[in-house]
Amino acid sequence: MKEEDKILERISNHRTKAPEDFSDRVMEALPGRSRVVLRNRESGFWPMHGRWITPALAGAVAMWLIVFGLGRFERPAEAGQVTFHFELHAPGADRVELLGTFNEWKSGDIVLNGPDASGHWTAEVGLPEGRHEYIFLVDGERWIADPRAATHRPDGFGRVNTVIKVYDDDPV
Amino acid sequence: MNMAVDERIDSELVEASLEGSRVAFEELVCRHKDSVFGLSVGMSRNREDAADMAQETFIRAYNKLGQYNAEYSFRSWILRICANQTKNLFRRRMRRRSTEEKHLEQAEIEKSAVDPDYQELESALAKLDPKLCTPLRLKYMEGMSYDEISKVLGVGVSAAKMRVLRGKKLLVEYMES
Repeated sequence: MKEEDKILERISNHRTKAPEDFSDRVMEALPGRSRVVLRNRESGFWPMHGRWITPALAGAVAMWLIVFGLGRFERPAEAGQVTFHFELHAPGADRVELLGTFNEWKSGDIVLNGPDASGHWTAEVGLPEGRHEYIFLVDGERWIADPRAATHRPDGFGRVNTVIKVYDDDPV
Repeated sequence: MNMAVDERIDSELVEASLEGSRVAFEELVCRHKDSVFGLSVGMSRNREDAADMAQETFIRAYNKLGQYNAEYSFRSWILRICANQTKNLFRRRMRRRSTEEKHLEQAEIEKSAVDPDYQELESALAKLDPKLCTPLRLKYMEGMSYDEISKVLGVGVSAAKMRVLRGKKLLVEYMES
């Protein structure tokens, strides 16, 4: 067997072991249960022995009043708003922001969700119909024009913005 | 004494953790601690920092468990969290303190903490640039494909292959010298 093969076999058989008390340290440092989205609340959440009936009825009445009230004063849907899907493939990134004419280029205003398993960051943003310019800010330091878009325009400061025109295909 | 083996797969443990079971999350920690710690050691070249980073990784994963997609491997998911976190930590440190960087370049290995049979190998690995050592560890210690490595480290598949190849060559040189 070649020396290189021996070394590779050796590395394949080896694991760098975590410290012995590692699991205990992690479990001690975990935040309380409230930080995790708890899906199963069957145990402990509902009051026992039928004591839930009065608060439940009161809650239902309150909800009905709220829904009824909101229905009466509901603002008409904003005309010309289009939901636009933004997406950037940035698997190594820790944070991706979207800055554009629609949010007055404000940093921290729109943060994309992600990354998903394939490294994509996404956001659904409601935009007024018309022309918009935007750019992605990755990890607060890298400015990236949308590689999926066809039109780009220099911003005059050395960066390149992406240009889109959005129109509602299916007006209500 | 018989120790009960938890036979649930990772995604079932994630589901149980989301429902509030800390025992399930502890099982995930036990299963993946060596992988996460190994990656942290590869990236930091310092066992003390690596232990902190690995611990932070699990805490972060715990807080983001709801985002985990069970169609993909939990190990790849948590290793990617670890890689991103470690990279960001170093980026912040490099901005703040250049001395810290020098400290990390010393390639400290606490010999007492390493299996004596593998001290030579660990020392050789510690000499490698983290950019080469990390993919090499993922390839051979974790048995990952180049595609998985590229996703964990956020680099292209060809870059992952190239780094493994270069890392392998240097490791052999260090081991033979």
